[in-house]
Amino acid sequence: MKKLLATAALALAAHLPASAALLVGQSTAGASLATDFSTDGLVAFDLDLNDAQAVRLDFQLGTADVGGALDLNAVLRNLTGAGIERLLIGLSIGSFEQAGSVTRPFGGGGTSVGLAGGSASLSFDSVEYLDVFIGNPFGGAGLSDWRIDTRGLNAGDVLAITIAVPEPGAVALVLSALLALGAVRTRRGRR
Amino acid sequence: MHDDDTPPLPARRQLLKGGSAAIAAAFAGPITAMASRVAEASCAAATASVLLDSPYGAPAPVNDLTTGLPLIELPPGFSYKSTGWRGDLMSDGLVTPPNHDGMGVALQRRVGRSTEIVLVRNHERSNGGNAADILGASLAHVAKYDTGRTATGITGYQLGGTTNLVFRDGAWTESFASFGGTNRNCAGGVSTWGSWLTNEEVRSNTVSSTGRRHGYVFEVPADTSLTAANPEPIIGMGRMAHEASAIDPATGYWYLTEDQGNANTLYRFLPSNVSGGLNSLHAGGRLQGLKVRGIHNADLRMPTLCQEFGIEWVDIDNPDLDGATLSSVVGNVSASGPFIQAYARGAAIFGANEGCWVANGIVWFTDKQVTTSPARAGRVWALDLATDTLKAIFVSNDITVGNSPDNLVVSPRGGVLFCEDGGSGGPNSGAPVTQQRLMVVHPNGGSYVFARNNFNFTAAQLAAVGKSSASAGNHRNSEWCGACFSPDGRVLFVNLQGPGLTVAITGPWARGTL
Repeated sequence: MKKLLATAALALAAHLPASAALLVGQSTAGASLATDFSTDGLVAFDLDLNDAQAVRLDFQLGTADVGGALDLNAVLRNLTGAGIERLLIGLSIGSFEQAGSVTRPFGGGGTSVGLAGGSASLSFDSVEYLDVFIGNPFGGAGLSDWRIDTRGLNAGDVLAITIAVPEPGAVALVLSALLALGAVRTRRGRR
Repeated sequence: MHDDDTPPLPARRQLLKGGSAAIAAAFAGPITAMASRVAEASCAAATASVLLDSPYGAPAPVNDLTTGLPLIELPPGFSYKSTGWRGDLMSDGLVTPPNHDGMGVALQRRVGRSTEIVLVRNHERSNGGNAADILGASLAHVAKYDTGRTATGITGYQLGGTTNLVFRDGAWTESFASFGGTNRNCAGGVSTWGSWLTNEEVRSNTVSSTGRRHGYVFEVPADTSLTAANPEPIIGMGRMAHEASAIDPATGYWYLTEDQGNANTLYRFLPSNVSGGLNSLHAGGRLQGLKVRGIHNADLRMPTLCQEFGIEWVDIDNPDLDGATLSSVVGNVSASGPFIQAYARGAAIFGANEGCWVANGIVWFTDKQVTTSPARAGRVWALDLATDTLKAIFVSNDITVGNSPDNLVVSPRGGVLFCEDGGSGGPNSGAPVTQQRLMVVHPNGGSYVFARNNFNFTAAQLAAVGKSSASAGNHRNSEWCGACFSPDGRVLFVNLQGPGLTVAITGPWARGTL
C-alpha cells in the first residue's frame, strides 16, 4: 500500500499556478523523503533514499516551466545502507530532451545513461554507496542540468517524477512498474 | 576523602547546540543494539580475545580516488579519498603540518543544498628551535597558546596544534590552521556545540619563557572564522599527558584518558557550567579519578576477558599540581599531579589509556600495550554509567589479535573500531607484524581486521602524483589515528600519522558490525 507523504493536496491544481514548479505530493511505500528546491524553469529536489522503495514526486508546473524546456537537477543521498547499481527515473508527462551531468563523488567508475521518451536509465560502473548528483545542483563549473521537453504541456499540469532503484536483473520489471506508477496523466496532458 | 556524593544529574541535554545541524543516523535498525551487544561480550571459555574472520571480507590494496596510489587496504566494495597530505598547501596559504593524529567531526551543517562536515585534526608535534615553525605563526588570526621557548625538559618552541578540514558533498574542499603553540596534540574529543578539544600529551613541570606550562586541554571551534580558538587552557581538566576526552551528552560530563605508563586512571570532569557552549569548560569544574569499589589502587592492567568491577569516583583537589615520581604498588613511576592525588585516594591503575568515546550511556576506552613487564597487547574497556560497572570487553594478549589499541570510535550504528599503534614489539604467536590495522571489536569479544596501512612509496612515485613534499618510504607499520564517522555513519574519516594524510572511506557498512 502506498504511503502518502503529501504536504499539499492536488486541489492546488484548481488554483492559478505560480510561475515555478511546486512539489505538491510525495508517495512511497518506504521512508524516503524529498525536499523541493524548484525555481522558474527548473525542477530541483533533494531526495534522501532511506530504502529501495520507489518514490513518486508530483510537481505542479508553472507558467515558466511549460511550452519549451524545463531543467532538472537532483541530489540523491543513499541512506539505504546498501549499494546502488542502477537508477531509473520516469516522467509521467513530457519527455527527456537531453541528459545532463551525473556526478558521484565517490564513484570510481563511470555512469551509462539511456533515455527513451519519459524514461531514463542510469547504470553505474561501480556500486554507489554514497550520493548521486543529477545535473548541477550546486552550480559547479563544467556541469549541466538535465532537460525535459515540455512542449504541449500547460501551466497547472502535474509532472510525476518517479525514482526507482531496481534489484539487479529486475530492470525490465521495474520499468513496467515505473510506467504504471507514473503513468497517471491529468486531463491537461500533452496534446 | 572519598566522594561518593555524585552531584544530581542535569536534565537530558540536547545534542549539537549552538547552531549545528541535527545529526541524522542512517540505516534501519536500533543504533544502540550493536553497542549494547559489544558491552555484553560473550565470555564463555575464554580469558582473552581471539582474531576472527571479517564479515566485510579480507582487506586488499585499493587505489586512492585522489592520487591513484594504493595507500590502504580495504574490504571489497569500499573506496576512499585522501586529502591534507603533509606538505600540501592549505586554503590559508600555509603548508599542512606533519604528524597527523586525533581528529573529530566537530560540525555538520547544511549550506543551501550542500552538506558540509567540518573536522578538526591534531598535529602531534612537540618542539623545535624555530619560532616560524609554530603552527599559524604568520597568521595573526590563528590563536596560539605559547609562543615562548622552554629551556629545560621540553626544549624549544611548541610546534603542535590543529588544522580544520571541510568535507562538502563528498569532496574535500578546504583546510586551514586553527590553533597553535601547543605541545604534542595527541587525541581529544568533540563537544556537542560544534568544537573540538585538543589535548597535549606531555607530563612536564617545565615553564616556558612566556610563563606557560604544558599538558593541558584546549578548545577549538569548528568555524574559526566566526570565533577564534580560546588560547587559554581548560585547567580544570588537569595537567597531564592527556589522550582523549569524550562527553556524555546526557549529563555534560567529560571522560578523559591519560597516556602515562603504569601511572594513570580514567578521569571524569564535571563542568561547573553543564549547559555547554563555547568556553563553558573554562569556568572550571570537578575532576575525579576512577577507583574500584572496595579495592584500594586496584591493578587493572591484566584483566581477563569480560572481567567486571564496580567503580566509584574520587576527587582531585588540584588539577594543576606538578607531577613527580610516585612510589606505587606497581613500582616507582613518573606520575602527573592529578594521578598522584587520585592514587592517594585509591584510584585504579591502568597501563596507558588512550582512546575514549561515549555512546548510549557507555564510556569506551582503550589501554594500549606496554612492552615492559608484564607484556601485553592491549585492552578495551566499557564503563556502564547506569550501573557504574567497568568491564573488559576486549583483551588482547597477542598483537595479531589487537596491537596497542589507541584512538577508538563507536559508529552511529554502534560498531566499535580502534586504531592500532603498536609497531612490531609485544607477544606474537604469528608472523612478524609489518602493517598497522584498523580493528573492530566484535560483539562476541573477538576482533577482526577492517583495514591495513599500505603506505610504502618512493619519492618518485609520490612526485608523479603531485606529492613531492610527502614523506616517502615504508610507513606501513606507523599508526592509524583520528578515526571518526560522519553523523549519518556513511563515511569514516581517519589519519595515517607516518606519511601524514587523511582519508574519507565509504562502502557497504551494512555487511558488518560497523
